[in-house]
Amino acid sequence: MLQGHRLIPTGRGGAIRWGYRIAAPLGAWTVTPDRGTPEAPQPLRRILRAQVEGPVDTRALQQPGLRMVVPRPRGALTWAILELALDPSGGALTALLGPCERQD
Amino acid sequence: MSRFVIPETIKLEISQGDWLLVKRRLTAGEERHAFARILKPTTIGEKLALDLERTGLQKIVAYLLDWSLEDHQGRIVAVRDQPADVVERAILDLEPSSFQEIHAAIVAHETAQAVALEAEKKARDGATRSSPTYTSVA
Repeated sequence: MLQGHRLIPTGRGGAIRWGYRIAAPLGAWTVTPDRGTPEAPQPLRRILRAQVEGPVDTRALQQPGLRMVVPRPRGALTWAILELALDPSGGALTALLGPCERQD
Repeated sequence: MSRFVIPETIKLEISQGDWLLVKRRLTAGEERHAFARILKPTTIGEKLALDLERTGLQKIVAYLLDWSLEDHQGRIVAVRDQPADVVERAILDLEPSSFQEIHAAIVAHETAQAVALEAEKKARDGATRSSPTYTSVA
């Protein structure tokens, strides 16, 4: 989906995982690249906004090394979670992601 | 060393270039769940009995996360993130010799992990053990 001149990855499904364990199952999600403004540029940041669909494993969600994992027909797309905030309602989360990696 | 299981994975190579992605160790919950699934359903007062058809199968289901096994059309038979009954059906569709090979690989992995865990415990106990402290009666 194109918004302005940027390609915004969007999807449905996937999960925030701690190893193989599901910390938060995801519904609809968007990863927005953010480079700041022309006046105040900043290094590329990828911001995930996602709906949480299903029970959250709060212990797993507090562990280091979390990843967002989106299955593909062969393998998966994954992003390291650098920072994460769970909405107080538990129904949504926002996270700062590392670069996208392909997992076979 | 924490007593909690870190959800790590290990890739086990099997014959014909195939691989299995398995859990490094099971949690107490996963182990108990696997054990409960090899018991035949009973009514109150009935003796517990093992379901021989599920023995071995449940160990594979408990450990297996993904594999490279393909069907006759060359498509991967999906087990990743599938419900246990879907994984069970896929495993039961295997040639008996492949089932046995996968089971043996997982049993060997489990044994190796148990040995490694014992060694870690011994090393930790050796490192933390110190002489007891006695209080003076004087």
